[in-house]
Amino acid sequence: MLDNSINIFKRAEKVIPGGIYGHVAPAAGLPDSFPHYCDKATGHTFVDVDGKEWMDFMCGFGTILHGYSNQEIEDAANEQREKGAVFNQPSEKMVELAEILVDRINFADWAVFAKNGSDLTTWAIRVARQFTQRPYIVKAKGAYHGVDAWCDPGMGGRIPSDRQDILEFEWNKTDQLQSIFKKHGNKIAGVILTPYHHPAFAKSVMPHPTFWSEVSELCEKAGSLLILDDVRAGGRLHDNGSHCFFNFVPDLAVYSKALGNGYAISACVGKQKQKAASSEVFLTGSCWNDAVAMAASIASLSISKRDQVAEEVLAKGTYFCSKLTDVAKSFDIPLSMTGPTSMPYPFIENDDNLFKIQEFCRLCAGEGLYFHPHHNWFISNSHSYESLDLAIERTSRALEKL
Amino acid sequence: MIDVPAKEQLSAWAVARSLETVSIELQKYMPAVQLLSARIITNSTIGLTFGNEIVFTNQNLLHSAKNGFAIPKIIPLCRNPMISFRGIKTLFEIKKLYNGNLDRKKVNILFRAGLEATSCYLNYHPDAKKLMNNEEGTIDFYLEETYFLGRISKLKNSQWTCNSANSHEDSSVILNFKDLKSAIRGTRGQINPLADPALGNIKVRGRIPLLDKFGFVARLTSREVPSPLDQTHAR
Repeated sequence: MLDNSINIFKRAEKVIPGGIYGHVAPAAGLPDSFPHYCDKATGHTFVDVDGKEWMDFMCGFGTILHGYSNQEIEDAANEQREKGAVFNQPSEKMVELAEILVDRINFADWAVFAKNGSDLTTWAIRVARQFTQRPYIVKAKGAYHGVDAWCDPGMGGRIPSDRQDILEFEWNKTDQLQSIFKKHGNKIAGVILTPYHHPAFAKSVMPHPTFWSEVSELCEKAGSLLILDDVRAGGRLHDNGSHCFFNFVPDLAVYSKALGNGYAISACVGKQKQKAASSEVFLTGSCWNDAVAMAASIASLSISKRDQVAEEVLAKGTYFCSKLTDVAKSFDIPLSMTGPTSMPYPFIENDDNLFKIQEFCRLCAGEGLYFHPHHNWFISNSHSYESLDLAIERTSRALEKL
Repeated sequence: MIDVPAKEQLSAWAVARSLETVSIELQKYMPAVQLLSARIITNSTIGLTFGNEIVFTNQNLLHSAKNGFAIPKIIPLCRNPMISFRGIKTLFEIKKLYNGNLDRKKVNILFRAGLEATSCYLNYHPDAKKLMNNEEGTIDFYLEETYFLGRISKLKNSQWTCNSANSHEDSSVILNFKDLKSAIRGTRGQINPLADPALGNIKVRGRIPLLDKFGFVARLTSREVPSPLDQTHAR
């Protein structure tokens, strides 16, 4: 069933360390049930290299908000592609995109661009250090902010000094954060956090009602910057940034994933007061001025605003999560969908070691449902209510095999 | 008796613990085999019998693991020649295990040796301890789905310990080797955590992050602790 996937993987293993690495590595999912390689995708479905069609609930791990190969976005990208992508100078698209972000994000006075979330989460903490002239960065334990040595979840290639200026507290435990500020307040450059806690292999946790106001207050009092890592959630909670969903104002925010609907782009926005400091922190990359990705991003942001996509995907997610937990319940499976409904993480009660959720997702894979057992799922706006009903029907059929 | 190895003797201590484990497993099939007992005598010497008759320097113990033979210290050998003789005979029986074809039974014994060496690193290597700081749970290993190879577990505030008996208690994570060849690579920490699951050589169910960390330490152990398998069954 995975013949082509395996054959391609065997070729890959010879020339690529580990064959496939990172979050898309088969080992991180269900290697005996999920394909290793994808052939094509449109809307909310994709076809693997063995010709099997899947109903997708990962959306390129969040990069696809408006559906795969969205025509409007592809048209915008193609129009720019005909002119070219990367030049000696940036294109006007860069300015246009920055203007849109500054206009849309309520605290933003400027924007810069790169290709991936990591590029700019790391840059953002350096801006905080430059601005405050302080060394320490505080983050939540288990939170993912990218692949750089100060925060990556891997184990190799690290030296103790990589993290000597990184302090951690447990998500929602503001008393711990308070203690950190009490002890190191005048050395803390910034606090970097995701809008809600979305670790892999564990339930998502929403912020408690006073979390963001407490964090904001602590940062403000100490003169530290509050950096929002909105790379994963951006565009799926609120069209103008997840801080609007949770009602707080960060100093810097980083976006990527859904920003270009599959085209590689990331952005960091900030306030006027950090603009000078941000100019002091070197920033560049070989293809970071890619006008095609910027054109795609402009189109993507325009659709989000016009169609109120964040609201849409939240509503669709609520519909889907409710139906899915009901159908699971009818088979005596205490499934709960944690985190926001537009990007829910599935968890089965008393299944801390994940055996049950793995089996659940394995069975659903048999019905062509791409449900990931260890990572939050993503709803795209190309999921129609009919398609979500179909997914529920298939889930029910899968669970009959239990 | 010292019960915590010095930093510089951890790899030798892992060899000694593995030898003790293999002797226990061997005795199940060969009752005449004398059990070995790993003991830290000084920072530079380790004994392999209850009365410290067979004593190796750290360096010689590592040499014996790599090349299959090394000379123990002479004076302790004379304390009780009979025990010394039987102990050395056990070491030769262990050496035999590594030669020739590896069947399920042999792989099972050698896997336990590898597991024991890794447990030493999990408990005493500073980087490994830091990595596993907040971890606890049970990892079970199987060959071809049903053949139990061993388990390693840690309860809160205790150390990592290995067990050859399947207690059928709840596992945190289960690793199944598809075949003997994969299991042999497993004994040497040669499983590629990215490629082998994708190719179906191993199947993992349960709490994958725990196994990822264990695997990282197992590979660290295999880089630092020599094994005759490196000579006889190179990757």
